[in-house]
Parts: sequence; structure tokens; C-alpha cells
Amino acid sequence: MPVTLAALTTRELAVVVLPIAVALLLVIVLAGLYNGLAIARVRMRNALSQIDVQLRRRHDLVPNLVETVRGYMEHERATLHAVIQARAAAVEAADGLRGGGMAVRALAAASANLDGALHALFARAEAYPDLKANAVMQNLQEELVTTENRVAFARQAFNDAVMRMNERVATFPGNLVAGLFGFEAAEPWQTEADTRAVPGVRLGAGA
Amino acid sequence: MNFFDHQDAARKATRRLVVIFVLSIVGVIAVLYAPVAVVLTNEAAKQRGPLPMMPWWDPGAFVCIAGAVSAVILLGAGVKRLQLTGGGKTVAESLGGAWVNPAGASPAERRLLDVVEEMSIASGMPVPPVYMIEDESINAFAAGTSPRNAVLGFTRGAVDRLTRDELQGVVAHEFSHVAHGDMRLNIRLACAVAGVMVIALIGRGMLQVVARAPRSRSKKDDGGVGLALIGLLLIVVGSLGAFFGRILQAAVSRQREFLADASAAQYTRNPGALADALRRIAGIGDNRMAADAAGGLNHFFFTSAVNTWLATHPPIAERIRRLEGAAVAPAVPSPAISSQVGAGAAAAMGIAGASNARPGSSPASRPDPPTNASGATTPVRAIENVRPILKRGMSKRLLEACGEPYDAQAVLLLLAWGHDEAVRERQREIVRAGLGPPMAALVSRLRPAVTDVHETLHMVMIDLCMPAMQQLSRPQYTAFRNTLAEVMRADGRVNLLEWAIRSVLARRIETRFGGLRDPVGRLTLADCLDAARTLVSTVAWAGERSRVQAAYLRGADLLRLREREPLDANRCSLDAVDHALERLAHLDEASRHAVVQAVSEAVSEDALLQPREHLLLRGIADRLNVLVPSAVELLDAQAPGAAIDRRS
Repeated sequence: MPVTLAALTTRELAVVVLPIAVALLLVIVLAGLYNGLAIARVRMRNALSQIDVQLRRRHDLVPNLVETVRGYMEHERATLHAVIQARAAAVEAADGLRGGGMAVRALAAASANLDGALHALFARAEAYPDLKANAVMQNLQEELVTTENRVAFARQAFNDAVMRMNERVATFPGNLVAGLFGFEAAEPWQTEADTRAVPGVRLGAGA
Repeated sequence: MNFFDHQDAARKATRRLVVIFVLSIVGVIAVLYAPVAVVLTNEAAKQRGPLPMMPWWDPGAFVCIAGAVSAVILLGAGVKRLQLTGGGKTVAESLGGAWVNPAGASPAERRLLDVVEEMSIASGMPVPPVYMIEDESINAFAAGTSPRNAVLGFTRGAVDRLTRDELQGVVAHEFSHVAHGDMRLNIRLACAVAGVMVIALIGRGMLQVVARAPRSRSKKDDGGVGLALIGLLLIVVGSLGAFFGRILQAAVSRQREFLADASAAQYTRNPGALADALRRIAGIGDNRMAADAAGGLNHFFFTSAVNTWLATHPPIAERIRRLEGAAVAPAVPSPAISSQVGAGAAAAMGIAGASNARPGSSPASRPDPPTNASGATTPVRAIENVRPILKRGMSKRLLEACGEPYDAQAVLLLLAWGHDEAVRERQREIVRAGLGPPMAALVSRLRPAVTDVHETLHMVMIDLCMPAMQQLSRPQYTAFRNTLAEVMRADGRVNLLEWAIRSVLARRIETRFGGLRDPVGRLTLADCLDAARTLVSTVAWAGERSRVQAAYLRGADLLRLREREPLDANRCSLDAVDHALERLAHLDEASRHAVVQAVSEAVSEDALLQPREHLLLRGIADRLNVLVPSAVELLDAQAPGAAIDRRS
């Protein structure tokens, strides 16, 4: 009977095509999830490199600042020394990051340290009217403040990217794929509150 | 051919592709139905009595096959599309590119950014974000589905080893891809091929199932053989389809490359530089990228990123020949590459290494710059003028601010700043509350620099801010957008500049967060004549008062509007334009182009492009997702309609 045979053919086809279609769909969904994670990770790294750009700019500004200040602040060697040391540590931490690592915590700590040292320096500088009136100093101070704001902004963008990444890694469909391909939750840049603190206090508080 | 013609050509090619794509689907269905038909006819012949009318026809089987095939192909194409339509940003990032922040740019990178800015201002295209791929080969790509989400990518090798002129040629080439809609074409091609390819994949899956199935009784063996046969058939059909699809894809792509080279020569008026760049690449010998991902994205690149015999790019020698209209000069090795190129390139370098002179760069060997019939649509020598005009019109600090994600927000906020002190005070409060005191301080510091800028440069300023604005995270952008909306409302009305900012942001930033949610155009022009008339009338009123009627007719004739009079001036508000645009957004692509073309005709009627006309035109074009030709004559101090120096 033609009809029976046709029906058989149809059913056979369905039996063959359906599992394959389902398997295909599964692969496609997996690929989509993987891509989503991969892109989230790339975005995150990109955001981190944007922080790096700003930090590098700041690191370039600090030696100028030290040079300018040195002539006026003869008696503030300790403060100046702290700034120089903090900068060296921050540069080192940033270099470590550029190697491709994600040592955010170390960089965050080093940057916070430099922030603190710079704030201390600016606070001391208030006591030197000549220095405050110096055009180069004013310019540098503004540049540094601007850069600090840009760092904060880039940091916020980075943390947003980390949050998106971590959400994907931790929540339902993504966590299956994340485990399979070794995607890990990343660490946000968590020194928002510490940034303003004086270094010594921060260390003592054990933050 | 002018600007709109090229885009039309791209659309026609797309239509042809769709036809071929549909035909191939029909072919696949027919081929798969054939065995069923054969079996049915045989069965019918075995029966006694007269043959039925169509013994091979079984609607059930046909629907099943047709449905399965279409579903699979569309699914495959859809997945590919999903991968590629995250905008150019996604493509660049998946190739391992990192955004080049102007603040941290090395001198070589700064040069690249300058060239890109000059090119985009000269060509009237939005400034795209630039991504850097750390790879020693010389290559570049444009990615994205529309000019508004396009990004350009360059390899480190291209930035370090090309001269400024050569780099400009390469940048112009990529801009041409953006302007002519090639990226969309490529994406559609890739989707179609991927869809057909899925058929072959299924066939392979079937064969594997059969091969793994345990051997059993003869009855089941029959099923296995049948399955294997179907699998083979699927592989053959799918592979053949994909094969022809690839050939087609490569053929179209090669044509677009020639077109891009020609346009680059037109943009820069310096075909020799692009030829030099190509020659340098030829001199390297092995210019392949290391990134694995480059394989599937070959058509995005400046030269084939991976060599295959289904080349998406024409041979370099042929491209140089066409650019110079002369015999091909021997390859010139780049002086900087000797240490970086492996043994594979040694032979090529040996041949050409003797001569350090660049044959293509002597003026005598170059043809006259291509002349262009439609002068208004190509930037005539504009590129050289852009940098001086920018330098003259905007302070260094302001230019820097436009490139910074943090500072660019302040620039855009300041463009919406009020004219009297009470409003400004309220706006400062809004910024302080919405974006924090540092941002409020930055706004105050930048204000003199922004107010100094002549209004002709406002649109340029907005454009310059966009690459940086695209780097904002979603929460950051949301906060900015809300604050900007409040700042705009502070004086109780929306002016044209604010409206233009909103339009550009909507197109270039907000579509990115929402994916690509351009409404699918189904309406034709006939459905929206009223809305189109509103636009043309408004633009006519924005121009010279004495020529409103003439300007209106220029646009109206193009759209074949029946009304010979523009709408009353009081019915041509920005609200009316917004209302009209909402409706026109649902037009199909060709009609949207027609509308923008009509608007641009109306604008250019009096041959004097005024800032407010420019803002209107750009806002309308952006909302309708259509590129408009350059407005660089607006910036050019020597041009008849030059506005920049009119006040001084």
C-alpha cells in the first residue's frame, strides 16, 4: 500500500531527523552560551586594560610632580619618599597585569597606596603658598585629579563587566558551560572605600 | 556612481543572494524528496489497476521534508547571524582586539587615530572606535552591521610598518566598506552559507549513527542502508550548496574589494599610497594572522587574513595594477620587517631587497586622481583640511576630552547647557546629583572650551565623542542618559542641537545595549507620504527663507509627492519630526534611503549648508539608519558655503 509506505517513510524520517535536530539544537545552545561567556571575559579584560591606560598616565605624571615639589618641600622628605615608593610599587603591579594576568587585587592595593601617598603630599603642599601658586604645580594637580576621576570611572566600568561575567558564570544555564570550559568568576576592583584612607591607617585596620 | 548608488548596488546583490538562497533550499528539498517519489512510484506500479494521477506525490512526506529542511537551514543561518550581529564591537573583541584609548595611545597609535578621525569627518561618516590586534602581520578590518555600530580593527603590524599615507589609504579602504554596506552583505552571505552547510553536517551525523549501530537482522539492515543513503545524499547536497555559496560569496567579496580600493583612491586622492601599502604587504610574503578566529571572518579583512583558494580578496598584484593603471611593480620589502619575518618570506625579500626606492611613489607613474561626477558626495581633498580646521576650531584640551569615556560625557552635557545663569545653576545641580561632584567640577572646567566652539563644529564634536561613549558600561550609560535628559529638560524646551544629540545617541549607543533592534521595515513609501512630507517641509523651512518652496519641491519631486506646497511652518516642529520619524522607521530599506535622499536634496537646494540644516539632516539620517554624504564643505574655509569663518 502506497499510503502505508509513505506514512512509514514519514515516520522513519521523523525518527531520524528529530533526535538529530534536538542534538543540533543542544549544540547550538551550548555554543551560544560559550560565546556569551567568552565575550563577557574579553569585555572584562578590555575594561581592565582601560584602567591600565589611565594608571600608566598617572604613573607618568608623578615623577614630574616630585620634581616640581622637591625644590619647595625640603623638609617633607618622608612624604616625597612615600610617593616615590608607592609609584614604583604601582608601576610594578601594573606591569604584572600587562603580562596577561588578572592580579587585580595586588594592583588595586598598590594603586590605593599611591592614591593615599599623593593625597598626603597634596595635603602637605597646602602649607606652602609659593608652591600652591606655582603654575606647573596647579596644572599637575589638576591633571592628577582628572586622571584619578577617570581611573574611578574606568574601574566602575570594569566592575560592571566583572559583575556581568560573574552573573553568567554563577547562574543557571551559564554555570554548566562555565564549569565545562573553565570560566571562573573574576574579582572586582574592591578598594572603593579604601582609596581615600591614609595608607598607615588602612594597614592597621587590616582591610 | 555616487554614494547612494553604491549602497543600492549592495542591496541588489543582497536580493540576488536571497533568490539564490531560496532556490538552493528548494533544490535541497527536491533532491531529498526524490527517493521518496521513486519508492512511491514503484509501489504504485506493483499494484493492480490503473495508476493514480500522481503516484509520486505524498503531501505528508513532502511537508515533513520541506519543513525539516527549512527549519534546519534557517536555524543554522540564524545562529551564524547571532554570532555576527553583536555589532562590530563583538567581532573585534572576539578577534582579540582591544579598544585604543586616545589617552594611552603611543605616537604610532595616535597617528592611526588621527587618520581615522580625519577620514571619518572628511567622508561624513561617524567616527568608529578603533581596535588594535596584537599581531605582526599588516592587516585591517571593518566590522559591524551598519555604519553606526561599525568598528575598525588594525593589526600592530599595520600601525607600526605603514607610512602615514599608506595607513590613510588602508583606513580609506575600510571606510569604503562601511559606507557601501559591505559588512552587512558579508554577514548575510556568511549566514546563508552556514545554513546550507548545516544540511551536510546532519548527513554526516546520520552516517555516524549508522556506522555505530550494532549489526542485526536483515530487516533492520535495510533501514540502516536507507539511512546511510539519505545521509550521503544530505552530505552531497549540503556540501555542494555550501560550495557554490562560498564561490558566490568570494566572487561578490572580490568585487567589493575592488570597489573599496577605488573609493579609497577617491577619498584620499592618492591611489599610489594604497598601492604602496599593498606592495608592502606583498613584500612580506607570508602575511597571515595567527588568530584562529580569523578563518571564519576572512571577508572582513583588508587582505585575506588566511589564504584559501576560494579567496575573498583579489590577488594583490591585480589590485595594485588597477590602482595604478599600469604594469605591476615588484614587491618592496618593508625596512622594518626583516627581523620579524620568518624563513618563508626570505625568498620574496631576496628578489626585491636590492631596490629601496618605491616605484609606485614617484609622481610620474601615477594616473591623474580619479574625477568624480557627483562632487558633493565625495570628500574632495577634504582630508588634508580636516586636521587644521579641527585644530583651529577646538582646543587641544577639548579634543582630548572628546576621546575620553569620562570627559566625553561632560562635553555632551555642555552641548545641552543653558544660556541663562538660573538654568545653568539648575543644570549643575542635576549633574552633581546624577553623576557626582567630580563630574560637575569637570563640566565647569570644560565649559569655556566648549562654548568657544563655533556651531558648525557641534556635529563634529558629537561624532568625536561617540567612540569613547561606546566604552561606557550599561549602568554608567544609563546614569549618563538620565542626567542628560534632565539637563535638557531644565530649560523647558528641546532645541535642535539637543534633539540631534539624542538621535545620534539612540542610534550609535543605545542600539548596542538593546542588541540590534531596528524595526523590520515592511511599510513602503506610499504608506507614509504624510510623514515624509513633514520631514521635507521642515528641512525646507530650516534653509533660506526665500527658497523654502524651491527646496521643498526638490525633495518632493524625488519622492513624487503630490502636494506642491510645503506644510505650514508651525506644523514643522521637532515634535512633528519625531512623530514622522517614528512612523518612517518602519519603512523598508530602499524607502528609507529615498526619504533621506529627498531630505538631503532639499537641504542642498540653496547650495549653502547651514549648521541647523546639517543637524536636522544628520539627526534624520541617523534615526532612519541611513548614512549621509559628507558635509565637509561646511568645515572648509575656502568653500562657497563655508560657515566657519563667516563670523570672524
